[in-house]
Amino acid sequence: MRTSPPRTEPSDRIASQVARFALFTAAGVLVAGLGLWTLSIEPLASRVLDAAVLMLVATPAARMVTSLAESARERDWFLVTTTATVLLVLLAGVVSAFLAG
Amino acid sequence: MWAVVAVASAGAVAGLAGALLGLGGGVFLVPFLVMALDLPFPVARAVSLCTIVATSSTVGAARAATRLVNVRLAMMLQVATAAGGVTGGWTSRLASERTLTLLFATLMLAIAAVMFARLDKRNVVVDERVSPGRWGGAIRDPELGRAVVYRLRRMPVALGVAFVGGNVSSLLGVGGGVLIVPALNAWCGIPLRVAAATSALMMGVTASAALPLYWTHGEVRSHLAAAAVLGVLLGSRIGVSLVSAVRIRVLKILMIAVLLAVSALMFSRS
Repeated sequence: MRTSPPRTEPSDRIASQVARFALFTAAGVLVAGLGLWTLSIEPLASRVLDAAVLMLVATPAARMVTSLAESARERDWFLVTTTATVLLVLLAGVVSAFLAG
Repeated sequence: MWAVVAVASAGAVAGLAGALLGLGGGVFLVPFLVMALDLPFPVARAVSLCTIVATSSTVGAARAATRLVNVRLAMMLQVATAAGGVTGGWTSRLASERTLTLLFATLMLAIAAVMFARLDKRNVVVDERVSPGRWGGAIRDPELGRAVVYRLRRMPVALGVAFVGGNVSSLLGVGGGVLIVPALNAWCGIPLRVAAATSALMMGVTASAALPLYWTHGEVRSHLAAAAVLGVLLGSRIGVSLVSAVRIRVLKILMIAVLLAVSALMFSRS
């Protein structure tokens, strides 16, 4: 059982930074939208809030796209395959939702 | 206005517990929104899924949490979780809601029992020269004050649980973490903190896959989602900073309490 030292985790630094940026941006727009909603400034409040929620929902996808690029750069084909598969499932979810809607 | 404040406060509690236990918080938020605020279940589910994305993004963005996430394992299980999420609609046609609720409640009781039996057992090898294998990893254990290694056991079980977790998330809007975290810890050899962080990262993707459908059906109420998300962001930031400070035994007891409470709620609903 005693063999090589622990394998290092794949680099996820840029994906984490992208997630942080997207999250803080969405949170800022959410605060602005909620402020407008509290002051009853419609329809601007609803539009800003809708945009903020959409930004938030897109955050995991943005992280995964970055992660896909990082994995491809590091030639980690297992991560490239799994990340691409999950992104395709996400895309299918969006397309089928808008087709059904 | 008071509803927005109540939702934000509930979101903060859900975010704190969600980040600590990797549950995404929906398991607390959905019953609160439905029972206390009398919101329709589809609206509560959509708000809850938004908060799961927020918790997941907080975990994905926090430096402390990303050290605990097993990215390779997350991506592997994510394929099963996403497939489970996509087939959620089909599952609801194969069995009645009552049957599914009973199955889910029974499974959570079983996991609570297994976790209780393993309350003082740890899934780590203290010798850091031991190979973690393809799916394991090395983390710094704050209780031991040194690096430890863990190895994944029973990958088919992990994949099966991830599939069911994704399915449940899509059906009930509670996030699959309530199933995946204890199962990975009890059956697959993954330390609780790693299971929680890895599951939280995965659940955001599953929730964001389900949300477009609810959005196009007009079930996402943006002002409630915004209030809940801001509450969750605050709560989960606190949770992420606390996760290394809270003792594993306390986390496990909290998890067992949540499992028993949700199981009892589901038995009563069925």
